[in-house]
Amino acid sequence: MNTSPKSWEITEEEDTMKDLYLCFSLDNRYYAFEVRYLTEILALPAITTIPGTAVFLKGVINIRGKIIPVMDVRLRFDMDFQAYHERTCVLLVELDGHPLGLIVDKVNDVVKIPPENIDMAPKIGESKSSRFIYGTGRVGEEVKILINLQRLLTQEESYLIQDIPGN
Amino acid sequence: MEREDVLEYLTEAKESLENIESGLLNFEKTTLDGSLVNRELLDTLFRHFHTVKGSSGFFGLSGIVKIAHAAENLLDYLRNKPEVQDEETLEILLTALDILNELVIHEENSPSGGDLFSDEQISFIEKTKQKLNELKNIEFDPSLEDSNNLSPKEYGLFQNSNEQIPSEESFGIFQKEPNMQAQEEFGLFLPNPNDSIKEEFGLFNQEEKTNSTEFGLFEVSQSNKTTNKTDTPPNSSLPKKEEKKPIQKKDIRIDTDKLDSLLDIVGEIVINEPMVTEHPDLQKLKLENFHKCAIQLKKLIRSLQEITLSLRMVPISGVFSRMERLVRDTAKKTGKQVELIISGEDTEIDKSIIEEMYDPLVHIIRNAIDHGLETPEERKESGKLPKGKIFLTAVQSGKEVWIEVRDDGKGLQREKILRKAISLGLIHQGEVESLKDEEVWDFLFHPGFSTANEVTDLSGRGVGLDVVRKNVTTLKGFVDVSSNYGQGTVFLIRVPLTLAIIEGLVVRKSETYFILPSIDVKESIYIKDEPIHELYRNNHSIQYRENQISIVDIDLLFGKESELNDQNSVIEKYMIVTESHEKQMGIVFDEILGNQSIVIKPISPLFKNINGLAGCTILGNGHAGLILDVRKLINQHMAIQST
Repeated sequence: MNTSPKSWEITEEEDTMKDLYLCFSLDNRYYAFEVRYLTEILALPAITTIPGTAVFLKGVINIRGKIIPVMDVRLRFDMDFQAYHERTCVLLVELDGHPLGLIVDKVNDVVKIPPENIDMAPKIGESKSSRFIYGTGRVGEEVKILINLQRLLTQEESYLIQDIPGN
Repeated sequence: MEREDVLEYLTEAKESLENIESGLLNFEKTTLDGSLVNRELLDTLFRHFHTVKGSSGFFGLSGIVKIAHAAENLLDYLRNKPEVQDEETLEILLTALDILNELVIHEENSPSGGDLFSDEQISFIEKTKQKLNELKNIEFDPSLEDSNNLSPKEYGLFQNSNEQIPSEESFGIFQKEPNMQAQEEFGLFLPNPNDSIKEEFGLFNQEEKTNSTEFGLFEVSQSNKTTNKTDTPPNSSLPKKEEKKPIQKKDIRIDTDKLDSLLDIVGEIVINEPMVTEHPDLQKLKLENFHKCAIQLKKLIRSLQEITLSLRMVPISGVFSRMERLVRDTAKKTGKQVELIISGEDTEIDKSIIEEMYDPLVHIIRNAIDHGLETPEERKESGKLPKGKIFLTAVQSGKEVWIEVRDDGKGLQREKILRKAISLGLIHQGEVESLKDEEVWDFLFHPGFSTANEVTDLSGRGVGLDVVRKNVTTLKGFVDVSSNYGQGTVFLIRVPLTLAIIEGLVVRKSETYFILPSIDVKESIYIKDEPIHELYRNNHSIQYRENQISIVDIDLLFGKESELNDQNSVIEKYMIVTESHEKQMGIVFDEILGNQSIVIKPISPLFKNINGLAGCTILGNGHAGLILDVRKLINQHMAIQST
């Protein structure tokens, strides 16, 4: 494994990542996003709150010497806050090269959702939280809600990230 | 990939250009004081231009090649005929350098194949050619032996002209005319054929000495002699520079991202070390040998940390040497004679700070020349040497670097500054008497405060020392000015050695850990029975020594109510007295954990509008701690109070 991957290995790896989705749940709803965004899954570490910021941004955590912001996905989706428990997880994702931790109730599994099983979300009800959802994926009898991670940070917010030098 | 190679080369080219700049300035210094052109210096300059030309050619940067080639031609000629060197050639060489810099920066920002992009640049090549021809025409004259010694290959062109011109102007008189010109231009150089013959025998040193005595006719020579004496510092610094060279050659260029991740990892190791060696599981066991090893490991980790931190440190000489050119150009523009004396250029500071020092220094030095130093006439009248001096010094003092710009000019005028301050409404007439000098000088840092009578090219545009102070303050540094009327002005900039690491006091407030930069902390006090006065909601004050100072609860930052509203909760807490710009404020915490070196990490830009925080860090217990920006907190607090 210490040899550098050859080109065919990369394509194979890309193939293995293809159509794979990480599923997590909030309340009794199942959500999923593409596995390629995921860096790692962590048990919830101590969170340091940062004053004067949006409610859904819970603060920062220390992951091996890196300070990483964490977002409570429930709060982002305008759900009620639920106290963290031992199954609460942080999903570490990377968006445009910026790490972000997502706090979710429970991580379920990784499933394959081929494109033909995905239905785009109907463009009805421009409610605040529906803009994070781009479609639904059928897995057997279940339906997973597919999240557009990029939108978790509103356009304005992701613009801010790019705008700051050194980031 | 190719583009990356070009970019890498361009950084290298910039270094060569810096060398050329210092070489040219050195060249100017040594020629202007009347001594003969240093052949070695010419060779070095030639070599630098040649290197730039060669390597740029390799990368297909045709514009750079053209300019460097033109300069190289001129220098090559000078190498063999140092006596024809005049101010104009120097000016041309400096312009060449400017254009090369321009081209390099242009190429860096917008890859364009490196061709010339302005008319000025194209006409420069023509100008250089003309100058070269001019020089060749001047110089065919008396010392035919000279031209005989030249290799025909190098001077083919020249020899031709040598033949042509005499044939056109066959009168002997004309031949002398260029001589006369040369005399006028050089003043100190006698186009004495003997001179040039002697030169060839390498008797340069003798030549110099006889020169100055020979030209006793010139009034200047007296002051020349004296300035020659004062010239010794730069001369004595020459061998120093030579000593430094081999050290510089050991340099290696490293991507700062790599450095930062190394710093991160080392930081982690430092944090993890006590977690392992003082692990609770080991506490009950008797492990003598283990503890020996652990101590050894601790030592190694400390030195690892120190070395890693020093990696970002570079000598300040880079910025200092760039000031030479500035001084030269500013002196020319203002018609003043200025000598820049640099010392302490080996002092090391964090690279990011050094870059930020450039603008403030430019401003201060320009100011010193434009406002501080008098004209040569004025200086003579007040019994000073006509040549003004500017001392640029760097010294390390504890965890700070002190950079001093000292001039021997006329100094600050208290009356003038006071008048301006009154006219701007900063003070009332009545207060004038009671102000200390330092307080008066401090007005200079007020926005829009310029004592310049008129707007010049150089200053007086209102962009003043306030900007300098702002720049330095963002680096957590200070600028102060002091002055003695008639004797000069001193600007002292104090900046921390590094921004990446600060000394901080770690404190806890409920679940959150905060760090107060040690520099802002004045004292910590255990509050027990001190009465706290509630001025109005969320605003309290406490008796501290003889003053009443504001006392605040950091909870306010989080949008909570202040705990201080409930008197009882405050008992048995700690108050840290912080100070910024002589304003004091107390902040209440639950526990003080102690002093620590803190590696500052930026807070994610996701968090907008964070007020009062300077960054984040990771503490020994693995928690992220918040670094308080005390100055901002105090300013905010004071602003709220006054509204």
